[in-house]
Parts: sequence; structure tokens; C-alpha cells
Amino acid sequence: MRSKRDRLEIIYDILSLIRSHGNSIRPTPLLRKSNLSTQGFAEYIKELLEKGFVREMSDSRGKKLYTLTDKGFAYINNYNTIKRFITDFDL
Amino acid sequence: MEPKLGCAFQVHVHCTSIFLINLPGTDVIMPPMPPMDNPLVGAETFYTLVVIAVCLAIYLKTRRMYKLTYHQGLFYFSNAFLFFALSFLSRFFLRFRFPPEAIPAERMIFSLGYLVFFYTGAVAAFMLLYSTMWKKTAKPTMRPFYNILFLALLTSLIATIALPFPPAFVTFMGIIFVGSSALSYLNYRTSETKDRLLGLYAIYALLLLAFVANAISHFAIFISPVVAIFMYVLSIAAFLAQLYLVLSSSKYKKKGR
Repeated sequence: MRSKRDRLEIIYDILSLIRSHGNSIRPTPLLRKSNLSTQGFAEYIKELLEKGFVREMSDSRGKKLYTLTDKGFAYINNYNTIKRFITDFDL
Repeated sequence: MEPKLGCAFQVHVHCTSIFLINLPGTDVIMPPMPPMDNPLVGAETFYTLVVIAVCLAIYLKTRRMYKLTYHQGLFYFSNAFLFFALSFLSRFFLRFRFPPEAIPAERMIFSLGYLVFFYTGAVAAFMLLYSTMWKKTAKPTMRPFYNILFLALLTSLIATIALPFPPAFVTFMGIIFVGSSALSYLNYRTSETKDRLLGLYAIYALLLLAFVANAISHFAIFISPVVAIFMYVLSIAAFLAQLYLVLSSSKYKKKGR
């Protein structure tokens, strides 16, 4: 059985989901694929928007979309390094 | 001819004045040594520059990671090294700019300078400890950052008050070192991957020892320059080992998740 994901891993999963969908995804499929509760998902998305990892946009029909910012891409690229650092230093 | 010889002799004695206060066969008694004439000034400057450079390198490297993740452990870890750098900088100015024999106003500045040195050093040591403990102790109601600042202030006030009484001061610093090391060891015992972390916690113990040795060196430097040099080497080794660990662990690897 897979162990419980920590905060960094959940953020990585959400950002990776957005990237794997051509860098734009609607909230409902993102919620479904992120394996989070509605409340948990809302909290994470709020944090990601506030900290500038994700940007909210609208498509041609006015539907909400999430896309990654440069910071979001940087997080994905550096995730493995940072994760290893945190483990190595017992942080 | 005599004045010239005297001059040459004085220059020589000034360069080595800790070792040679009175030369045999002479009646010359040297006046008290001005602070910048300390023969360890070169070693002290080099030592301070190396430690500050290493601390800032670790701070900048880990600060970048913190700004990406907002991870609490990284926050305390990176700030610990910023405060170590500040602590060593304040110590450097104390050593050479404010001699304890100075006039009362300068003595006050000297005491305040020591308070800054102890405070920044204590914040650094406590943050380094807390960076590895926060996961086990963090509670939603806790405000650890302010608790650390308050605890460091209390510690540094006691250390500054105890400064004129060397036995009390050394005992107090010893208690700080033993207490911090014990906490660090308990944390290591409860870590999931003990074997891999042994080297890391040994370096933490060395860093704590370096901080305490630096505080005590106020007295040690007058006992023997050899003790001071040994302390410099110990501190530089501890900080360089830490930098090596940080750089090797944060090296970018292309392999995917």
C-alpha cells in the first residue's frame, strides 16, 4: 500500500497533472485526478495561486482553466533535488 | 645607532607580542598591545572570511529551495546559516574593535556587541536544531519562530551577564552545548533512517561545538594561541563539511521520479 503523500508531493502531483494536460486543465478533472477531497483540493489550489505556481485563465467559452507559471515549471524541474535534500538533511 | 636598533626590535616584538613580551637580556617592557597588533589577526581574518563565505553559500543555496517550496525545515535550515554568518561577523568586530579595557561608553558597546554575538549565534544553533525537529513537535497553536527568538534572547542575556565571571560563563556555555547535543541525539534516535544520518548529526554536533568554542575563545585566546588556532581549524572543518554535504545533496540529477 502506498504511504500517505506529504505536502510537497501533493503539490508536485497537481503541477504535473496540469503540465501533462498541455499546461491547461479545468478544475473538475484536476480535482478528480489529484485524489484529494474537495476541501483539500481547494486549499492547495488557493495556496498555489497565492504563491504564484499556478495561474487562473478562461478559455474561449469563459470556462475556468489552470495553467503553470514559470515558478510552477521550476518547481517540477527541481522537485527531485529538493526532495532528496530534505530527506538527506532530515528536514 | 641605538634608536634604530630599538625601532627594529619594537617592530619585531609587535609582530610576535603574544609570545615575546619581554626578551631576555633587555629591560624593555612592551606597552599593552593595541587590538589590531594581535599576531592572530591574519588567522582570525582568514578564518572569519572563510566561515562567513561558507555560511552565505549554504544560506543562498537553501534559500532558493525554500522560495520554491515554502518548506518549514528549509526555512529554519537556511536561516540558521544566515545567523551563523552574522554571529561570526559580530565576533570579528568584537575581537578587534572594542577592547574590554576601553572607556566606559565603549565598554557598554562592547557588552552590547557580545549580546549581538550570543544572540545571533543562539538563534542559529536553535534554528539548526529545530529544522530537524519541527515535524515531530509542530502544533497548529505553536509559534516556533518567535519562541526561538525569545529563547535565544534569554540565553544571550544570561551569557552576557555571566561574561565577567569566566567559570560561570564557561559552565553556562557547556550546559548549552550538552543540552543541544542531547536534543540532537534524541532526534537522531527517533529518525527513520538512522544509519544514513549519522554523519549529518556528527557535523551538527561539531557546529554546536564550534559555536561554544568561539564564545569561550574570548578567554582561550589569552591562554594559548595554539588553542585559538585549533578552534579555528575545528570550526572551518565543521562548516566546510556542512557545505560539502549541502552541495553534494543539492546537485541536480536528470533522472526522473
